Amino acid sequence: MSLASLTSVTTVAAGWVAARGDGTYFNNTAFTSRIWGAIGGTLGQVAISTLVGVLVGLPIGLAVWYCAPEGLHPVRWLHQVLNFVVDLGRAIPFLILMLLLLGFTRFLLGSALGWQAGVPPLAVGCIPFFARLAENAVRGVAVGKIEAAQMAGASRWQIVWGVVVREALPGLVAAATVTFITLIGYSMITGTIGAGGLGDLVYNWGYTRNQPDIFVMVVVLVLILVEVVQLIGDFLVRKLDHTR
Amino acid sequence: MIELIDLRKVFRTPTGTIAALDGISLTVPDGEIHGIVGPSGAGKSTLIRCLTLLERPTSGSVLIDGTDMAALPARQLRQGRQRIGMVFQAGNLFDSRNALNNVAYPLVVTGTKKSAARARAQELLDLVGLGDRADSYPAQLSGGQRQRVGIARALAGNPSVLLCDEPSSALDWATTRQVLEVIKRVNQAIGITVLIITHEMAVVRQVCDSVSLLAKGKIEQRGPLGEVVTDYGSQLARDLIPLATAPVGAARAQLEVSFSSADFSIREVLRLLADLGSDTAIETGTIETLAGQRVGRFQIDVDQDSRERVVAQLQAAGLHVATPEAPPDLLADQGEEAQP
Repeated sequence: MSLASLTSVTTVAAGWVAARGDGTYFNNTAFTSRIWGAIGGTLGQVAISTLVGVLVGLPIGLAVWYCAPEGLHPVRWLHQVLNFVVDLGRAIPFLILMLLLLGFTRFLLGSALGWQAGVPPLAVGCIPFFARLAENAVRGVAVGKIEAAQMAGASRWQIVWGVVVREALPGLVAAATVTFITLIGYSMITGTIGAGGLGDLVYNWGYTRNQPDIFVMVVVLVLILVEVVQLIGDFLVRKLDHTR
Repeated sequence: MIELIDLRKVFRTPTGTIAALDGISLTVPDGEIHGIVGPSGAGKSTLIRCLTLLERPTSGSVLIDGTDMAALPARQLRQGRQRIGMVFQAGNLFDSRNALNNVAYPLVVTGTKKSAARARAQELLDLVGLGDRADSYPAQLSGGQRQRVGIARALAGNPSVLLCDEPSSALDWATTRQVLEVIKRVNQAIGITVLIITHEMAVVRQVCDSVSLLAKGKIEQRGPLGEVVTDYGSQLARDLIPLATAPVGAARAQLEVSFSSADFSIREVLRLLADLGSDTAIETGTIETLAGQRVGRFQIDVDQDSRERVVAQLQAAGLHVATPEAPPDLLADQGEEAQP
């Protein structure tokens, strides 16, 4: 074995040690120095995506319901078209959506790196998902309430927002909570191809550099995150739901 | 005033057409409480849905204060409907709004200022006896209270007509009476015309001035309560003054005796019946006050041999006598509802 190769092995080993930090778990500087940024990145991705998903998905979900045969203004062909579009959106595997949107992401953000780069595919994937959940929620509003509003002289616009959305609000908030939590999982995937957040930490520091302690820590953290989000969601639903 | 002129509603089904409403003509004068009764499947729900134009009638007119609702284009229908207050079977209150905001809703959506709408809503809640429950959500109210909030909401837009679709079918009798009392009070307080759809004769007995019997999409009998109950032997008279069925012995005949106090005093009738002789027995009887009129029906049992003598004696006294047939089985018609 030549001296040169020996040196290079040592260098690599030294690099490993440096990368591993000076310990494991909370003493692992690779973890402690990155964890807050990673959590912030993931929460940023998920929060913005959920917001976009709700703002765009809700009108789409309402439109699907509105022109459905049992909706406020049945338009058969439009209902079928919208239904197909929503299902198509949900059918595209997330990995493919992510790769397809790389160009769009670069165009939008100037780069496909950093936590922000995870937002476009997450938001786009979330829109049809939330649209379907929203449609299900508003479909649960009793026809009689809509008829009562019609008899009260309400316009269609007033019925959609003042009765249908309002009566379905607890269900819609529950749907947004489900969406948020589902997106936490998807956001991890974006981390593996360059977007930041917890996915980046797990893949590039935990997996690539063989530090299983980071896996354990992130799993526990995500578990706590999910629980907290669910608690907040349930609290809001309870506040909004006057039926019990 | 409500006027229905030859109202028809035909549904197409894979097996043919069904005339759910087969030429209904009906007038309810201002300030009257009119009941529409009939077995399920008679077309009651279709009738009320056509009245409110939630369902478009196939032909015919629905005149509310002279305006033909069925002829209004969608845009004007919204305004036209403000003449109609609707009380639903299931209440259909908005769960996300408290009682006050439920009642204020028809005002708010038609552009009344929020403060004015709330003040009016409070007045209406007072009228239905729920002034102190303004802040309660529907889920916190009892069934009867919810229905009263529904009545207040129906009145908010100052309609000239109040439609009640089976307003008490989900309520026990004590609660039903309360709700009907409220309807009666409202009718007297503001002179609103009321149409009540129901399958309970008790509802008609308690509040209605006039009544229509709907069967198979047609009005079979109609008139002021005092008239239909003295139409001895008619379906409505039997339904409004029902007799408990009593068993008849062999070789005995059954007779039905009816009267109204316009013609008789009750004392006179009872004495007549008691004097019929030892071979007759009064099995069962009912005396009711309906539409301010005392009306009664008795079932008496008599030996086959003395049947003719007794009938002659009663008829000579001016009472109405009939041999009861088996009660017409209206419910059996349900299966083939309103076939043309």
